[in-house]
Amino acid sequence: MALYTVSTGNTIQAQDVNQVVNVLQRASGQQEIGKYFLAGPTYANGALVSQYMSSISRNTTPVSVSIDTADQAPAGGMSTTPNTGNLTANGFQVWTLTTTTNLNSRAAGNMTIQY
Amino acid sequence: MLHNIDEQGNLEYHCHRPDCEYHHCAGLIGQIECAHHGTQHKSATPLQTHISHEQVEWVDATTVQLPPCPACGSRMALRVGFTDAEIAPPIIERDPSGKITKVVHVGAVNLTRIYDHAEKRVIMDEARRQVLRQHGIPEALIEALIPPVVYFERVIDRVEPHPAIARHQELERQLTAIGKRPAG
Repeated sequence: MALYTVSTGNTIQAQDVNQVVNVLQRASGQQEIGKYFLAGPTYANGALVSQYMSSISRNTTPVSVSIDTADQAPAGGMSTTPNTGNLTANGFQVWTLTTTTNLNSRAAGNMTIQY
Repeated sequence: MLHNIDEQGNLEYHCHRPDCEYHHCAGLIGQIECAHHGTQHKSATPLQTHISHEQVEWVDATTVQLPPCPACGSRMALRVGFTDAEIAPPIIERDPSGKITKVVHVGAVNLTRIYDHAEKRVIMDEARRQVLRQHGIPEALIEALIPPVVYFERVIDRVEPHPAIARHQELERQLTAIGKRPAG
C-alpha cells in the first residue's frame, strides 16, 4: 500500500508514524512485495546460480516467501521457477541448479514475503 | 503461508502471483487485506497438495518448499523451523479484573498476534462544572468553557501466537514422521 504524507501544520497521529514503522518492521499478517532478477553464466549442467534478496523489513520473522517468473521466464539453462530458502528476518536466498551451460541463465519476477 | 493442514497430511495454500487465478484475493468469498490489490476478496479455491508430493521438499534446515502453482508456476517456501528466541511467548500484564493492560514482546514482534479495538472514552470535569453552575452560569456556556474530553483507548481482546507457527510446525512434524528430513 502506498504511504501518505502529513500536511504541514497537521498533528502527527500514531497511524502516521506506524505506517512507516510497519514497513521497516513488518507486523503480523503483513507482506513485503518486490522484484527479483536472478541471472548468471553457468559452466556446467547442475551449476548453481544464487543471490541473496535483502528485505526492507528487519526484526520480524517471516513465515513464508513466494516468487514467480512473471518478468522473465526461466531461460538459458534455467528450466523451472528458482528455489527460495534461508528465510530470515533479513531476507532470503533465491537460487537454482541449471540444466545446461549458458552465458546468460536467467529468471525474474515478483517476490512476496509473508509476515 | 499454509492456510490449512489436516491430520492426513493434506495442505492448502494460496498463490502469491497477483494475476493468478489462485491468488489469495481472487474469487468472491470474504474480504481480506491484500498487499497487491488493497482490500479484496479471499479466494474460494486454494491450492491443494499432500505432504508425500515429491515437490514438497526441504531446501534447508528450516525451510520447506511447496510444489509450483499449476496455473502460473509461482513457488512458495515455508519457514517451518523457528528458534526459541523467535517464538518466545510475550509477557502479558492484567489488571485485577483480568483485563489485559500491557503486552511485552519477548520473541519476534510479528509472531504474537494482538487482537484489539479502540473504545471511545468521554471525561466530564463535573467538579469544575458544578462550581460554575453555583454561580448561575448557563449550561451552554459551561459546555463551551469546560468541554468534555473525548479520546479513544486501546482495548486488547486477546493475544495469540501467529497462526502459521502451529501449521508450519505441524508440517515439519508430519514430514519427519514420513521420513522426509532436511539434507545433512
